Amino acid sequence: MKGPAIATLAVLAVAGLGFGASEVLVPSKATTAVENAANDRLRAPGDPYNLLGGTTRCTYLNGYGALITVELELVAASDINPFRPAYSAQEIEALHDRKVKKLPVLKDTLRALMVSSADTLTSLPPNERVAVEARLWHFRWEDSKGIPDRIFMSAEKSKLLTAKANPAALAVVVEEQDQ
Amino acid sequence: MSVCERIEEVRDYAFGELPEGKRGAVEEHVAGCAQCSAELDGLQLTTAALRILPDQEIPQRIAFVSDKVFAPSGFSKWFGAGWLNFASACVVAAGLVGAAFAYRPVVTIAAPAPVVTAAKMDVTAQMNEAVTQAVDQAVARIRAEDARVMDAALAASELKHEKQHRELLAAMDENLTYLQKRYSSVTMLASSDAMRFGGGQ
Repeated sequence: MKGPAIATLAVLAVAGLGFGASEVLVPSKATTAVENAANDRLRAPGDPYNLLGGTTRCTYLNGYGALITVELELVAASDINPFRPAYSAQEIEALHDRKVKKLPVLKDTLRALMVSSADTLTSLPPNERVAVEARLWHFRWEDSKGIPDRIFMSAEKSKLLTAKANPAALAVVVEEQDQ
Repeated sequence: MSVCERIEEVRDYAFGELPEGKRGAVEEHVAGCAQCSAELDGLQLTTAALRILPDQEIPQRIAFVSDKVFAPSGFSKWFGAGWLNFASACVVAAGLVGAAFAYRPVVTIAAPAPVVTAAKMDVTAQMNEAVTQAVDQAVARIRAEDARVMDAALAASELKHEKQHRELLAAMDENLTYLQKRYSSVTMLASSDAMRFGGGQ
């Protein structure tokens, strides 16, 4: 009876060490700093984004890197309510135009966020990645043609830090998927 | 606002012209596309309205009075040239002369009068009955048609209101989700700011 119990304890201890090691690799203090910086950047005065479903979240995935996730509304639009039962076709078109124009701005913001996160996460190994997933909110009545529901960007940390001073190089380094 | 590229398939679906194999895909698409859903509802409303129109046969042929088929034949021309009128006048004259010789005034006037009156009354009653029946049938037919039209209109109206109700519920559900997400963000950001900048407890 002792043999299996000792073996189980040994496995648990090794697993615990592994978990502890990953915690130490990128401490929660660093991920919290990334989250706060992202929240501040996305709420910056001017034309801020509406954050939805909580705040920006940064998670370290052992062996992959840091994943930053956020859900936001590209342009703040009022919802439909009894006092505002519908939007006219012109208003819907104007909103769509504003969103289309703001989409590249958001992508630039996300790239800059990746660079600043790579700087902040000093303990993240250079060969691991920094990734950002932004989910964009659309109302049913909106015209969402040409605007993705999800933007996913990722890049190796070392490449991000190398290209951070050059926006053109940064756009090449960052792999992007729109869905 | 742009038009969904699958709108033609939705129209074919609405008119029952889409192959059976493609119907499932279109139903799936319509469930997720507000524009196609609205188009399908509109088409279903239209077809429902069309169904209440009475079926009428198309005329087999349209003819003009100037067509040859209506031109009088040689016999008709001869017959219509006044001979018929003359022959009718002769027959009536002969009848009058014969009647004057055959019947004495007293007998002919007194006896047949009641028989003629009774026959006329009988015919009038039959005619009245026939007219009443025809009118009743026409009224019943019109009422049935009115009822059918009213039922169809009510069904179309109910369909329209059901669609509006469905859209309103969907909008309310979406608004609620949005407000929950927004509320969650606002409270969490406020909490986070309070912890960072010392505004909290």
